[in-house]
Amino acid sequence: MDLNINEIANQDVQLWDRSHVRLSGFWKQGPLVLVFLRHYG
Amino acid sequence: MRRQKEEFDRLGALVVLVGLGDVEETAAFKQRFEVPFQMIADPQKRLFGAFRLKQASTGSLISAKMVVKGVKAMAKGHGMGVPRGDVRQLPGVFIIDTAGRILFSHHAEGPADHPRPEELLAALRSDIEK
Repeated sequence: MDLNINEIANQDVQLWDRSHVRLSGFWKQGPLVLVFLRHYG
Repeated sequence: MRRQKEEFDRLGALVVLVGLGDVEETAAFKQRFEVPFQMIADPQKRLFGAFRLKQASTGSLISAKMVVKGVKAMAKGHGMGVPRGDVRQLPGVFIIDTAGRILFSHHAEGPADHPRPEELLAALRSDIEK
């Protein structure tokens, strides 16, 4: 399954503390392990 | 994964969780379960979509196998409260290196389909050894 890494890298995301970051910022210093959760509850 | 946090840290990896709740729900979840990782709120499922994560069929959510898994989880104390977010949305895990390359990808085929933390650590170690 091909993912568009450029589309992914440029995603602006909001964190739990309301701050906004670009997703690519997370893998600048080291590898990113991105874990998608199912619903809460 | 929290049990392996030290090992992820030692390998220089950053673990970030993505949830379906809004910011308030995500903050509450993080606080309630003392999540030691950064968390992203993705209530619009933009990131879920960008990573092409799948949706479960109704049949797979209410299969006998899933009921048994749910009962076992509850017996261990992992109770199920009121779901927040799309209950059909399936999870996944991705490892992205500093060059933006995807080293590992896992698109869950079912609600309980998760890679073991040891698999993720092995993928990270394999990349370091290259």
